[in-house]
Amino acid sequence: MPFKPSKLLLPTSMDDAAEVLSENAGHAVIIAGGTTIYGIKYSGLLDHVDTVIDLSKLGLDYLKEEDGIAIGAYTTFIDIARSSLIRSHREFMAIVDAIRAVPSRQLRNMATIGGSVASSLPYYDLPVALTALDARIRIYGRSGRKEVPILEFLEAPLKPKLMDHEFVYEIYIPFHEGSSSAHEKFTINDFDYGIMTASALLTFSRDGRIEGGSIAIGGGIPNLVTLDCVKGLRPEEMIDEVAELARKEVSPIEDYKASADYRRYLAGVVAARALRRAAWRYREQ
Amino acid sequence: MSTRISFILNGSRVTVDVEPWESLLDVIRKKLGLKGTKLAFCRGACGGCGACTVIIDGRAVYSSILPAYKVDGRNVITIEGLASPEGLHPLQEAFVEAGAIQCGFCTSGMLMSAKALLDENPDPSDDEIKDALRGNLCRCTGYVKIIEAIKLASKRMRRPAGGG
Repeated sequence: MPFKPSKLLLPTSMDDAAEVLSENAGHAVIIAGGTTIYGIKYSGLLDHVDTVIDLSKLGLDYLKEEDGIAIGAYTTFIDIARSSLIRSHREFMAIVDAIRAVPSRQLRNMATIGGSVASSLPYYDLPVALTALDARIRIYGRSGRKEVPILEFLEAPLKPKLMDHEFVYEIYIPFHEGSSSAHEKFTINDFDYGIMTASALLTFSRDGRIEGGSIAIGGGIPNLVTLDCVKGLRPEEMIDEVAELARKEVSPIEDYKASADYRRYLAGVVAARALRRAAWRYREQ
Repeated sequence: MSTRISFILNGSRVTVDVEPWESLLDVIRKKLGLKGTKLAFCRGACGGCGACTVIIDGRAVYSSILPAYKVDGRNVITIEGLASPEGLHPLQEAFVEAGAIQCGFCTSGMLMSAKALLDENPDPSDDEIKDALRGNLCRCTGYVKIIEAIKLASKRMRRPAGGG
């Protein structure tokens, strides 16, 4: 039977939501902006679903500062990209890049950060940026609140690390003093998912050398990959090394868009570009 | 299990029963009879063509992938809400004048994206227009005339009526 849920539930409290999720385990799906769910509705992956659970009555549409930024799961891409809390920090600009990489204004108006993360799809842009920025996924369930590092949360495509009664309510991104970030996406046409993508976060010392940082790689790979940046070098001294390491670490898929070899090559290209742009942003902005 | 929703559609309040799986596009076209908003090749699993674009609370969205129940209490504008009894909207006039329409299938979506842009930013740059239209495909015109039309409409809408 194709995706045609007969029941809609709109819980009004966090505890209600956990309860409703638990009662409908195995045949329910959480809907936020709806863009992923509608996108895969003919794939057969949702054919077992007869109940849609919408958490939009929980007030999860916000950005707030708390020794970092906490973003409610139902906050739309457009509100995040326009937020002065995000844009006033160079270290968060990979998020803005990743949202700009979503080609359609309509999708940016609809898609939410929680949906993007909980879909756990390696070719989505925003989770790659959030991984480079060391984001933490805040989860609510019957046993209360917990926090999981994003890389651990993104366990497998369409299978985030969530129990039946749990849901994502917030994404927390720590401040990274003296840092800047950037996201790069490689596509063949404008309206496509990234064939390979990368986000870089670089932390600099006063003399312009790298103190630390990380590069996250996504796109046509089963799981995101992260690389640590070498301390003490200048960005231009590590570009070749980073590109080579990126190519070594990824295990790309092969499909009609690109061969695995080409994707492997691109992993180096996007990693190097993200690194260059993060470094440029630190100097220029 | 249907849900009764009530929202403002092109300035008038409508109340309608919707199923959890029904898209706003299905409801607008089949239940409310407004056929100007188009469904294209995606069958409601977004391919990003933009033919189904409507404006909700000032923002352009794809109605084919938006569950209808989500517009309860909100303000929806479709292509049918663009013209007034006095005549076409300046954007529609500009599209006709600039030759921004060929087969016309994408036009209602293009106009809704353009309206959302100009409502928010009355004097957009070329890059801002292109960004606002990234989610709308046209396979006839090559976009140049569409961009020209939006610039023409923007110019006219900023100038007071009857002014030089």
